[in-house]
Amino acid sequence: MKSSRTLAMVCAAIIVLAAIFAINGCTRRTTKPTTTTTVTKPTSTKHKRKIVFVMKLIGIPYTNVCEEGMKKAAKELGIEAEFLGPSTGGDTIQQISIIEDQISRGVDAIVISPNDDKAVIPVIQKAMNKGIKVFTWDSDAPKSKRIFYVAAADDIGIGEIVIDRVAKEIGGKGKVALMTGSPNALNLSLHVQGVEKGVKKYPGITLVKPYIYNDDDQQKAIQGAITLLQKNPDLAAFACVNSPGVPGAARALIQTGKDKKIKIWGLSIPSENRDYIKQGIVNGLTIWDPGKLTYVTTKLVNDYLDGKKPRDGMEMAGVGKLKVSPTGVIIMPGLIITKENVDQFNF
Amino acid sequence: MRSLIRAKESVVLLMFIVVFAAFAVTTDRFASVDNLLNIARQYSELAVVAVGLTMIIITGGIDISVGSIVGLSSITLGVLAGQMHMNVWAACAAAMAVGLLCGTLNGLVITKLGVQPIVATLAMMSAARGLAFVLSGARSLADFPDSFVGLGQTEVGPVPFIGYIPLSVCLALLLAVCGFVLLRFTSLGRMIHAVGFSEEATRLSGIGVVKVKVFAYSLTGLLCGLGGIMMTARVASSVPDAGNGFEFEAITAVVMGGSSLRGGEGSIIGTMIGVAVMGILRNGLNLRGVPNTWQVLFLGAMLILAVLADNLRVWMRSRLESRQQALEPSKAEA
Repeated sequence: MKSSRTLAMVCAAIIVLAAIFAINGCTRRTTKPTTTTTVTKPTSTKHKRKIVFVMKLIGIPYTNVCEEGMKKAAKELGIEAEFLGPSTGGDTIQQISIIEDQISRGVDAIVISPNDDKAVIPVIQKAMNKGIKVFTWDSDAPKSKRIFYVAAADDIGIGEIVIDRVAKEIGGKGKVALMTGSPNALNLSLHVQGVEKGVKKYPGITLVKPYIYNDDDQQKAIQGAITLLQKNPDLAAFACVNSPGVPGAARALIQTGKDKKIKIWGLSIPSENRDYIKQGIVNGLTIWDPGKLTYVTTKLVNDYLDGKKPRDGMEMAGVGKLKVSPTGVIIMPGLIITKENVDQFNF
Repeated sequence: MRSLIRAKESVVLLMFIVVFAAFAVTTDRFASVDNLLNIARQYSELAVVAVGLTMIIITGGIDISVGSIVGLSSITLGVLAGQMHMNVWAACAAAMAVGLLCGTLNGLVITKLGVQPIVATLAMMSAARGLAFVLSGARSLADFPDSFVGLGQTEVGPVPFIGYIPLSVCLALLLAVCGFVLLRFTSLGRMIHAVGFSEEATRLSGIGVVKVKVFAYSLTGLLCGLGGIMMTARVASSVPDAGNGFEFEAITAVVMGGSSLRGGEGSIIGTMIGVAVMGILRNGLNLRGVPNTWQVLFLGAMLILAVLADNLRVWMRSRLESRQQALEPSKAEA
């Protein structure tokens, strides 16, 4: 009696499982385009090359633009490419888990923007040992075994440009607040170093300490800026070196009624700041096109997999000449955006 | 059927089978031994922390500071061994002591000062994370001797059919067995259940409720300390945001595993299966290339589903029992 009931139970469980499989099988096909970012071009039935990008964080405008650039290149090349990353800022461990899972999956290449340049060293080593080619872009891990790094701009140079522009705006004297993202991201700490190096040219300027760390979070950027404004009512300008910093500072100034009295220059994308720039709340931006950066990276990685290595001074269509250093750093030319030219950029 | 409804672990086991089978059928390379060991390695730290958290939840408490304590432990290790060049094993002991201290502090604030567990551990969550950032200068530290880094990559074996098992996985399994034995076969385990079932009755029967609770929080703190060390060894660097989001994953795993947030009921076996469900879900979604933003949505839905399924199980069990009681007299007559 009892055993027959158990048997019936097991049968029922198997039927339920089978039903779930069937449903899973169907929904998978229909939902795939919305839940993944796979770009496929139906060419041949043989193994299609697969490149996976692992960002620091996904779902913010900056990284969405990167993803668009990747998709465009993948479509042109007829390869598969995916854009992954943690959904909360600064999550180093989660980023490593994602990379490990891609190693298990056996993709052809992994392109990383590391949250932490040291913590990714073992996982990059592991991937290379398994024959997966690893590259970095957007931010580097110079001590790792990565093949090359595609930089949007000279990381230290960007910091210097930002502080030079700020200095020009405030006439070379006053208190300047420096806003950055996570203190562990190498590209951001190099931007900060650039600002610190550049500020030595202007004895009249003091950088307010401690710096504002917004963890790539707009809300934290606004809060940090407001707190700093309360402590430093005589602030002259904001110098921001990560993308949520500029609009964050702009909103903080609007909320405290100090807009247009305090200057803002920084590294950010035009689409998030277009209105602020036109109204004169944000004085200007220095930026690269993150879409083009990722587009170029996808092409360079694909070329490398085909056996074509990047060369110094090589011409990339629509971007210009690339600088390639012996340490495997590839640098793209950068942009300066102000009220006059902001409408020319649609990212 | 009845025993299935009675068993706390039935819901999570069903979830495990469904999720595992679904990924095994639909996703290439998911069911490979290599990948499954990769998941086990990634989730061994969470498993260690969840053993402690299960005990806290059985006492009717909660601890949302586990992730921050893992981070603080990792940074303690990084500062002492990496920066101040202290002996790495002494630094490990210090990291575990820091975890123990945080956990004990949680327990004392909750029992002696009468602060609600969620508030006390919320404060610890913020304080420990803050301290981790202050001590590390908000940077990661990575200057460990090879003997320590090697430990994170050490594998035990060969085990038949599986091959080499990571050391951290063995450690997690060993601790789970210890936790299981403690809860099931010792008087301390019975006291932990009693406190959660009815604190007042336990107090009246002369059991030191305060001691039992402080034990649960201290043990969890200690295990978080160990989790921090394991994570540091795995990624070969100590990161101030280590353990980020652990509180969510650990609580979900424990609740999914059949421990009731009302207290008095819980299962280490269920918790371990719960951790496994979290692991395969994350990994499977990563293998399918599902963006993380969607994954957190899935995991949130899993938590709600687990609680609902558990409520359903409790409801069915009570119906079963009342029906049984109704049947008893007729049985006696026959």
